[in-house]
Parts: sequence; structure tokens; C-alpha cells
Amino acid sequence: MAFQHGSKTYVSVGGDDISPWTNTSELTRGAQSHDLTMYGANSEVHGGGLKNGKFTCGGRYDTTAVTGTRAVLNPLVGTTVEIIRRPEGTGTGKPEQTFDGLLVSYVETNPVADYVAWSAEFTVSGDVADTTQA
Amino acid sequence: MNLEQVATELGNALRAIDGLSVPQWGVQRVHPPAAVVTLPGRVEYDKTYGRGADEVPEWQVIVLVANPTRPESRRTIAGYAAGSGPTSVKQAIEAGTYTACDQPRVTSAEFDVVTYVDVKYLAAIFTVAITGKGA
Repeated sequence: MAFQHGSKTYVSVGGDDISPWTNTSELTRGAQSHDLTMYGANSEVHGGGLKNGKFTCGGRYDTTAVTGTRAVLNPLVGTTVEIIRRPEGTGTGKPEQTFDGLLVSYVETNPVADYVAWSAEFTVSGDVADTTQA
Repeated sequence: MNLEQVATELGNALRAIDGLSVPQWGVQRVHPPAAVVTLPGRVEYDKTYGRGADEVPEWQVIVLVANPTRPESRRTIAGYAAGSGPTSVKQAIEAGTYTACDQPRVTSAEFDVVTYVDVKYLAAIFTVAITGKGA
């Protein structure tokens, strides 16, 4: 048994490494469920349908021009971009997931007594490719 | 984030206050009014992925004023604790130039009578929140 600390997680969006200003992310993978129950059955019967997914991430707002939060994510709202996620960090033999995501929301939050924060939600478009880093 | 460089930049920002001396940490004699940049209370690592950011949530800066029981001392320290103005510590620190960390924020000030090298002073203890690059 070996646990993995989340701080090593790597995330890139549209070719930009957003890891340095990201502190939370979540990839949800799911599938449609179809009811195949027929007359005479005592229990429901279900079959799997199309797969789907959602990717959310967030962190601290980075003011850096060109590579900061607003510069990278704000223009992508409503567009589909390639997302690369490395849940165990970067390194040979570690898992990597590559998929396209439609950026459906980008949120900037400004609390009076804390750092400016951001969050984003992507709808996964197409398959998620699970590979191993070379 | 180089903590020694952050302390130096905090000291440089405090020197913008006319008449306030900023001695090096650990000196045995201060000339009040003086601002002492203490050791950071705690460094928190890995605030974002990939060693992107570290944080010092509470770094104390102590301003010492002589003669802790005199009315003029209270007036003086009130000026240092003001949110803005020519002797405002909050204004001076937040207006400083920083390359070793992100822009600091002075979050609070508390008051006490403290003893430094066997001498009692009226003190305003400022808490500063600082973040910087982790790598």
C-alpha cells in the first residue's frame, strides 16, 4: 500500500501548466444508465450507455501576465481545449490522462480577508485517454 | 521564497517611515522608536501543486516605543497602528517593493508592554501574511 500526496499533481490546460496556481482538482468519470427491465422481472435491470465526465479545478489567482490565471483561462470560456492530468505527478511510469474539455465556467472569487481565488469547470468531450508517462 | 530576503524587504519598507529605526534581527541594543522584524512564526509548504507556492501566515513585526506609561508614547504608537498615514506600519509594509515574495498584507495589530534586552517598551505587534513561490 502506498499513498500519494496531492501536492505533486500536474495539470495543464490548452498547453499551459496551471499547476503552480492550482490547489484542488477533481476528475469525475461516469456513464449513462439505461433501464432494460422487462415484464415479469422482480428487479430492475440496467445496462451501460455513453460515458461522460466532468473536470473541476481551482486555486489561487495569479496576476502574472500571459501565464497567470486570467490570461490563461478567461479567453477559454466556451471553447474546447486539451487537458492533461497527472494524478501522481510527473515521472516515467506514472499515469497520465489526456482528454478534451469544454470550459463551461470560470469563476474568480474575492474575499475581503483572503487571497483572490479561482475555479473552473470543464465538461469532458470525447474519450479520456489513460496512458503511462514515457 | 528566501525568508532572509523577505525579512530584508520588509525592513526596507519600514524604513520609509520617517524616524523609525529598523535594527538587524538579534541586535542587543535598539534606538526607539524601532521596528524589529522577528523570525517567521511558521512556514506552510505546498499551498499549490508542484511546489507552486509557500506561505507564512503570521510573520510578526514589533514596533517598540520608549517610556510605556507616558501619554505621548500612546499617541506615538497609535500613529504606527493607524491604517494609513505617514507613520502607518500597515501602509508602509503594503506599499513596499518585493521581489522575494508576493505583496504582503498586514492583518492585525496588538498592543503590549514588552521587555527587550532588560528595557521595557510599549509595543505594537503587527501580524503580516506572506506568500511566495515554493520553488
